Amino acid sequence: MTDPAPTPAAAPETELAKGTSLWQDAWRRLLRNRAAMVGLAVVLLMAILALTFDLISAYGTRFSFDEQHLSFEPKPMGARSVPMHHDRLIPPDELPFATIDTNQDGFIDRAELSTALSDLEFKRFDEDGDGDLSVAELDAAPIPLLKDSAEATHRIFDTDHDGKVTAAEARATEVTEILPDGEARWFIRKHDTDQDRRLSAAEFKGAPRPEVHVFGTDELGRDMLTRVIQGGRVSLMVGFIATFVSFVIGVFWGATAGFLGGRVDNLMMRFVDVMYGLPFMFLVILLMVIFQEMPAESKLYLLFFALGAVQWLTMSRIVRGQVISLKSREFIEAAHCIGVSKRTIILRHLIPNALGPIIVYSTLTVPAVMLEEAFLSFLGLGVQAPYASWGSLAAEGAKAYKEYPWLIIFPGSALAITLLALNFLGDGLRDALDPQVRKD
Amino acid sequence: MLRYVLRRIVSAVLVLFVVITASFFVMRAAPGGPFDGEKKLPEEIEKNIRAKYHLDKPLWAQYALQMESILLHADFGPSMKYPDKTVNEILADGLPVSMILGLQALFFALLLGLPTGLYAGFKQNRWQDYTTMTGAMAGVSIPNFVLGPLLVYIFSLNLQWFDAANWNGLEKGLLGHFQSSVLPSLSLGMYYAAYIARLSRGGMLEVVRQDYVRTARAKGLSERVIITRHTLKGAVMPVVSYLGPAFAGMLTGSVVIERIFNIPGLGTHFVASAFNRDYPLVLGTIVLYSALLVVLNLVVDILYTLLDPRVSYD
Repeated sequence: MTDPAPTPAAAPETELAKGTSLWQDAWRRLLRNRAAMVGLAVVLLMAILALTFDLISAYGTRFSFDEQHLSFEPKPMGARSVPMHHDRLIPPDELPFATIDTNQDGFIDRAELSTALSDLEFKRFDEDGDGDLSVAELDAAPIPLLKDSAEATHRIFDTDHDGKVTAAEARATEVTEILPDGEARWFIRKHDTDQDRRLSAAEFKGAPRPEVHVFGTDELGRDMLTRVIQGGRVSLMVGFIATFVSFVIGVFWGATAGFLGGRVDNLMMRFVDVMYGLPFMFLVILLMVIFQEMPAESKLYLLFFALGAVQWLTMSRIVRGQVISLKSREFIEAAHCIGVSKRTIILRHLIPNALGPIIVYSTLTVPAVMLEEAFLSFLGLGVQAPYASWGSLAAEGAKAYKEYPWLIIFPGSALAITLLALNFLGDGLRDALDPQVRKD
Repeated sequence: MLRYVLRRIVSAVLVLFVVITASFFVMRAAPGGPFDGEKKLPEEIEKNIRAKYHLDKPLWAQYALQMESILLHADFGPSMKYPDKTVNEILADGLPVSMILGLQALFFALLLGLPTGLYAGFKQNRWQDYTTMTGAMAGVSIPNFVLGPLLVYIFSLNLQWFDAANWNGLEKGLLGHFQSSVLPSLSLGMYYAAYIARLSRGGMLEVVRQDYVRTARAKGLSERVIITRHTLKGAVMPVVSYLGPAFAGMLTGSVVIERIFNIPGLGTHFVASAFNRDYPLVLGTIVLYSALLVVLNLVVDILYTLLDPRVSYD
């Protein structure tokens, strides 16, 4: 008898440990769902991008979301501008001091810098590197043509009529569209500490240099990549906060109706029924139009509330259904019988068991709200300038998608990808948490 | 049944009443008015205009007048921004356009969504199921204002199959009408096609597990007969009950689609009139939208009881 058999008291303990296995089980099922895990990864990535936006703007894209680099039209992907706020050292390999300083007097003046900037652009367009912009290269270059055809434009640029557009000719006719002269003047004025209208090597070293607009710019010359990330921050924030609003209202309303039951329940749910019949989005549109002139910040709160108010109806129905069905379950009765306190019943049995469908529905509400916000922003009723959301960015892009497709492609795909990820995640959660509707 | 319909009609009237009242007062609570132009109108003229539209009366009197003219005469009065037109005329111009757009989108959604969803449900957990459901997931995730420009870019600018952003109506014949309306209908209907596919797949999954389907198989019926005779009706029930919300969503979505494709429908008027503070036109569009919604919801619910004898509302 040196090795006593396990006492019967140990058995309930293992039972108790298994009590949490609803969540472990769900988590294991979720891990096995590849689409949901990819969705989770994408959502996390977007959330990290949104949260670290300030760092990304300062050290990644190096543009802030509202700085403008005006030009005649949106700049395409890969165009460059000099960032306004973020100083950094010049990399020695691209546009070093010696290259710009063509007359080698130890100073960079406006003409030299303008030439250098223009030539840098020229090199980008001159794909075969032969120092000539051919008709085909001109046609492919993301610049506006002066005439309808690239041939005609080529003739205009080709001022000495030798059939070639050289870098000097391109400069003279300002093919390169980045307004090199204006940029050069601005750049020199900003960094000219001794006010002699030229930059010494030391002054130049401390100055920022042109950065690439990876996603191009909008019509005000704002960096699209920075704006898309900033827009994602707003879109995600609206999605999560409005969902939280709907969660709070819906849980409160549904749980009250479900707990109290009887006439109160009937009245509260009849109210929900009538609200269901309302064309809610139209009232929201009306509301947003009416309060168009409110300060941007309070309008954002109105947006959270309005969108949350659209979504809480279904939430309250789900919560009520859960509460009613759980109230009369055997395990709750059993808990009552063995004298578990009401508080413990609610905390330990009711809430964890009701939580599954609520979490699932909340997850699926986030993309729905984001879509609605995008819809309102598209109509010009959502987030206000200079802030942007994916919806308002896509709305701007949709105005001229034929000429400048990048303006709608990037915010549109960011929105679609995030919604897709959230939907996959929500579906995966439902499969994991709600075995009744799980596909087997 | 009759009692149920009567009760629903009463509640529909109640909803309309709430909508009219809410929009009336929200509109009036807002800053700005219909006659705040760039130039300040001379006092006398403004006074006369305000008198013409009863804007000089107290708010409750305006409300009573408006209610009376809507309820008794179905008349929304003259537009404040387009003085030569009444709201009823503007609505009569826009409604058919929006209806055609909505019906075509609904038709497309059913045509694409139902068969693919049912098929996916029937081939559960096989590659056909996974492909269609991934496609459906993409469908519910792409906003219509992204899809619309994308379709135009591909099909009218590059392939030149359809007109871009021009509503032909029927003046150019049926073909001309379809040339201009296919892309807007697709953009509007795609989300609902995808959603309907998901719903009908779920419906199919539910039905194929029923005992009566097993019985049908056991007595040796062919798969074709089992599908058409026994599963189809039950499988489409979730879709039937979704038609109401789908229609509501399409009404809302058409506001955006009409803007992208330059379609002279109700949605265009709705947003513009709200911006212009054209009180009667806002009220007119919103009441019309709500009425459409309420009537359609009622029709769908009645249809539901007729299709599914287990559901009874008495």
